Amino acid sequence: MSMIFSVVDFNAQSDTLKEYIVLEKLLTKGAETFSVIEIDSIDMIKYRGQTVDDLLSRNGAVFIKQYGSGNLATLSIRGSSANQTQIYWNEIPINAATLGLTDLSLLPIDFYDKIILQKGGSSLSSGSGGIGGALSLFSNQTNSDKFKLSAEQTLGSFGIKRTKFKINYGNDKMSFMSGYLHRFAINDFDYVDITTLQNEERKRENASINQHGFIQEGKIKIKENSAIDFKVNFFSSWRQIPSIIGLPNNGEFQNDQHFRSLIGYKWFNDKWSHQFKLAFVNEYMSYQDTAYDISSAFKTNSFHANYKVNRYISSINAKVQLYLMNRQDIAHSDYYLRVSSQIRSSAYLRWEQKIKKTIYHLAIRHELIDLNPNPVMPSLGVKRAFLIHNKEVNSDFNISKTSRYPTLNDQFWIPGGNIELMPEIGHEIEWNNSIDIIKGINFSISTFYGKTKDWIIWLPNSNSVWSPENIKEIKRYGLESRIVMEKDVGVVNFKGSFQYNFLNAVTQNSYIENDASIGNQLMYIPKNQGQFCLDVSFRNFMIYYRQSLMGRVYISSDNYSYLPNYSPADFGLEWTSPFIEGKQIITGIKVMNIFNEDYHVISYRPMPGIHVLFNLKINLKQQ
Amino acid sequence: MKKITLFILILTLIGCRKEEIGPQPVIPVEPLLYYNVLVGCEGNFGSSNGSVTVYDRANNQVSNNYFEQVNNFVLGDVVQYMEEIDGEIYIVVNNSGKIEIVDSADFSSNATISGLTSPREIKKVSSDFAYVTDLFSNSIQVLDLQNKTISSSIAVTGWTESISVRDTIAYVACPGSNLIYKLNVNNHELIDSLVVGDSPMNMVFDKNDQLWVLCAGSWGANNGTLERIEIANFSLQETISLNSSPSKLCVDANGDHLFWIDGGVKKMNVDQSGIISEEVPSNGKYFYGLAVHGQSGEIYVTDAVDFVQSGWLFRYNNTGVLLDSVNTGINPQALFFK
Repeated sequence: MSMIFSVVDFNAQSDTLKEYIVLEKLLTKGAETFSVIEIDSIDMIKYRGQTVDDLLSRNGAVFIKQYGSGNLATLSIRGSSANQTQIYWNEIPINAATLGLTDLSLLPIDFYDKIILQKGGSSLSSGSGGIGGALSLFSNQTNSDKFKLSAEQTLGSFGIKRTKFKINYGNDKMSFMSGYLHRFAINDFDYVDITTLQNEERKRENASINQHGFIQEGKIKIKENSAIDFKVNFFSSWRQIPSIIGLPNNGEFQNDQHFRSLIGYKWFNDKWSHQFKLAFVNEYMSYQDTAYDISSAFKTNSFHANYKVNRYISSINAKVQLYLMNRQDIAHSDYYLRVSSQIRSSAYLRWEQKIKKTIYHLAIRHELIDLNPNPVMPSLGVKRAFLIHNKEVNSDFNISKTSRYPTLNDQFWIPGGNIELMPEIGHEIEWNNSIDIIKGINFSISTFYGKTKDWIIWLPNSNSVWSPENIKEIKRYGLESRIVMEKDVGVVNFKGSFQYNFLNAVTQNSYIENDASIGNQLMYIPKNQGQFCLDVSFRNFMIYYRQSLMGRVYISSDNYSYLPNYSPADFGLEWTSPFIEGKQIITGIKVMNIFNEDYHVISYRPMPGIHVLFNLKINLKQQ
Repeated sequence: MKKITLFILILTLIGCRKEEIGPQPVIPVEPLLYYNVLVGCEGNFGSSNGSVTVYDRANNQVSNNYFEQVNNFVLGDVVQYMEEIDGEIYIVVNNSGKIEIVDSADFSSNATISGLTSPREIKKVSSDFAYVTDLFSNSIQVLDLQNKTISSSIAVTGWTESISVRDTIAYVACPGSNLIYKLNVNNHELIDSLVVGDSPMNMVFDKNDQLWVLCAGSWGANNGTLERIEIANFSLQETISLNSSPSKLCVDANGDHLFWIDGGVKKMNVDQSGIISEEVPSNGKYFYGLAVHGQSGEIYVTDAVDFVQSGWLFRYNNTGVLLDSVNTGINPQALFFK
């Protein structure tokens, strides 16, 4: 997969397009006082052909709960559950209205060129429900090339085959991009069967995937300060679901399809910017267990209409943003009595001002669910740069309140759906600091403290029917640190980073009698995690090494049992040729889990050992 | 060169393999040498953490994860039921599709019957055979007790659960079709069937040889019922409406009283049917398993708490006074007295 497929080639773009990019940054940027993490575009290139969970699982800033290669993967930020983490596609929320989460293994990195991670209350600028935070995926893959063709083939262990094509075409007024992606893998890797007396080695069965994706984007310049753009994603996935270790193969498989489309209009001048977006998202999922003849399916149609306006008041160096979001979800499920529909409307108003070296913001988000008001979600933040021993330190402090409304399954599932549920409420304060210690070395450290009230958990009710209730209160606090170093030695560039996060997320209160989870760490939330990265670039070569360091996770809420720590590492080598007469070759090899570590992210669901990916890409460009 | 060597050394150190794979206990426990109560703990569906807790009621000592401690391999996914047959304990492991057979004396593994679809209960029906009910197979499996293999199956419709035996007749509750099947255990043929309330789950015989059936009811339609069948003419004699969704019907040693879970532990004298008392209130607990000790009349109840942590076993005397309590494995529900 090419750099061009993944990353916008800024240099090749016209001035007008550059202005649009600046405008887009202003429109999509959250509150200045919150620190956000933009996933390094170089990292995205290294994980091309793979999915967002593969990339983030080596990132160290979040925890990815992976059920195995190609299988369900969800995101947890700062001790939140998967459905307390919101996922956005070009600012459109895509967490399933039914289940409330997004499967990251169905999000190919090739479809995006920018990924932004907002932790805690920072997510309020993107939408509601992000108690843990939000992950925003942006794609802007059009450029000013008249014609450019990219073709790529990846072959690897365990029957991995990936094929990609991308065509860019256009002129100064309009630009378009069409892309196709096919991913296939058998995933028949060896694993240790720990349920047997001798810990026998076995081959993974029933773990194949076969996925097709299509992406179409376009941008039409109307005037110098206005443009229309559209984006379409279609992804169809068939995958087998392997049984857990020690269980017979039930021949389970799952079909997932999503169709995401949006059309947007932007207009700006030196004081105002406006953005309208209309989107339609369709999701379909069907599951079948061939051994037990069990099947289920759901389909959701979501309609979105968003409007964002920014006003810049240069006389007092202030910005005001109003962001209106409306969506209607219509869901069909085998487990609903009737078609379920829900309308959500929210307004976000933010005032932000810079006074000398200090920036502050005040913001409020309010949401109506079928015209019923949800709790108000405010945030307040201050950011200031100051000098310590002649070194500039950027420090920000934020306080916020977030909430998550119950999902359609929580409310309407038969049996057990509970329409009396209250929304979950999150409160959080955070303090972020960043300092350039010496030239080429940056150190950042953050601390946070938060509480989540009315956490929704499914438990049997008095009729012995599993039903969701607002059960627990969670206390979360932690420390996040990162040091980044970069140095040139002759023509060789070295870049390294080390990250360490500590997270204490414990149950503080519970309505359950004899609940031994009180005072204990939440399940599948590591207290300690980190990441080590090293990149070496030399002329057209790049060598990289990524290692995640994951501490033990508890697998029972009373912390009586745990999964051991693991630290899988990836190594890659890549060569990129220069464009010669409009032709370019990029080729590379990547070794995943290079130390062949046996580990489980979820108990009894083995992860693949060492495996290799070979990659070849050809770019053709009209001169 | 030194720097490269150091770098490789660092990578090797941080990448070195560890010995532990998969779930580990925080505090390993020592097996008990003596015990007289076994608790089958389901574990979590799809997590292979089903287990057996053993309990010495005289000394109030407990040992969790007993099967794995003795046999050095995990029991499996969703421990559903336990039954002692001819000096061996048969442990039905539902989602693993198997029955583990252990020696009743030392709990060592004697055999594994695998390849079952989704087994629920096992009951010896004659000197040579036992029946195994199933959630999905649309059949009752006939187990040859001599060579411990499935010798044949009896076709039925839907989910089958509880089995009760009188002489040469086995009665099998079928929650999937709201029927009680009557089977001849000599030729394994279906003799008759009787329609009862929604979701018949448990059956017991009382002192009068009446077969009591506990029906769990169906969500949003019918509450549970307690129904009495006269086995002489295989007819329904009595239906008692219950409040919600009852479970775990059992009977005391003399067959005088029925006990079941319906929030708390309910009790009814079989000679005064319809008069139901609450023997043990739940007080916010989620009672999940129930048994009445034959000799002492003590009531053993389990609590699954939040279903993802260690459960509790509570021991009450026959008037409902709490005697003691111990921690068990996750989701304790199948109780068995030695």
